Amino acid sequence: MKRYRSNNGFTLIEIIVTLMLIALISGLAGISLMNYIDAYSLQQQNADVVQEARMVINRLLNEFIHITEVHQGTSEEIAFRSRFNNESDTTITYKNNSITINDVPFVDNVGHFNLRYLTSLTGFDDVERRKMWGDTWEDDISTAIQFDISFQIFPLLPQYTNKKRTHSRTEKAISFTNITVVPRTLRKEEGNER
Amino acid sequence: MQSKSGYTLFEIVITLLVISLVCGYYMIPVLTSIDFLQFEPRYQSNDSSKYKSFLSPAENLQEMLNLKMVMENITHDYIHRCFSGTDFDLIKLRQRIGRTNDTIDQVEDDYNEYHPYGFTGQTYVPYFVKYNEFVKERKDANGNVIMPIELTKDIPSKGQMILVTIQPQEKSTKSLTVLFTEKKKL
Repeated sequence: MKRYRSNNGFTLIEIIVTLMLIALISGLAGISLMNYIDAYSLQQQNADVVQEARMVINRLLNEFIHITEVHQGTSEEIAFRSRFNNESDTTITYKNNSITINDVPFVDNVGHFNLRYLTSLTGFDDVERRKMWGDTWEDDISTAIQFDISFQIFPLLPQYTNKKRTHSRTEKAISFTNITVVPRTLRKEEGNER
Repeated sequence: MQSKSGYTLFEIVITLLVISLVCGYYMIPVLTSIDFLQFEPRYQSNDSSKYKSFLSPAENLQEMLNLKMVMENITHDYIHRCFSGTDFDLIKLRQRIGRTNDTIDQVEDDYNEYHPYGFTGQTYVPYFVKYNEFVKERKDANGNVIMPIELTKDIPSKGQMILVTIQPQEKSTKSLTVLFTEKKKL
């Protein structure tokens, strides 16, 4: 290749290579920057959801720990009396991605909410032989409540389709599992408080 | 405008424009496919090494909930056994929780000695346990432990008690402490 050189300048090759390198580095930096912006946005949503989760979990724990009597318990609903509510009847229900307390909306965007109940008074002795947690409250046996809960978030995440970067809202879930509470003032049929 | 012995500015601009277009069309999608935020698999799993800062608030809360689960399991066992009229007491409770400064992370080998208070129903949550100064180990003159598990009545007016502290790991900054006092069925 014939070499051209201006008297006091750069060759075309030098300029092209330099510009290509600058373009490449700028491109990568831009991509990283966009990703960091996405990540920051997701982190903010994540922190907000965890803050909400703390509030929801604390409220549920307070309701459950002061339970004096359970009327009915399934995996998605529990009806009880609690000292937290001055011994008034309370029903907590999970339906259509929402949790309601006495039919009043409590929290939305709940991915799943699953209640379990201790099925054995000697559960910890039988851990390898029987299922410790069941899906229904059994009056004579159940003495503790466990639940899982997950919260939906819908972050704008990058998608790559047809060699293009686009953003779309994708459902994600932040889950909290095995939240356990032992009602301290549970009354059994014989009238004893635990 | 022309350099003395080179290309015209027009030639340079056109060449750079073509190179930019080719790079833009073919190179950028290739580069962007190196996704710095592949949330999907990592978000669902616990492999958060690269994205720990994004998930740490939720992980911190779950870690505390795990500690609470262990403590509630201990509480349930103690309350139930004491109120059911058995001779279960704080010494036995301590035996079942585990030795001080031990990490209780499995149930198989020491099943008879330690109880699976970290058992969630499917998995096992390990925990590190230690006790307060009310509980002492009896040692001989040479400093050897002859009675590893013994309760002392440091506050006789309040009866026997142990202050149980559990942590996720030995050097963890998170901990949960509960005071257990002697209980009898009335």
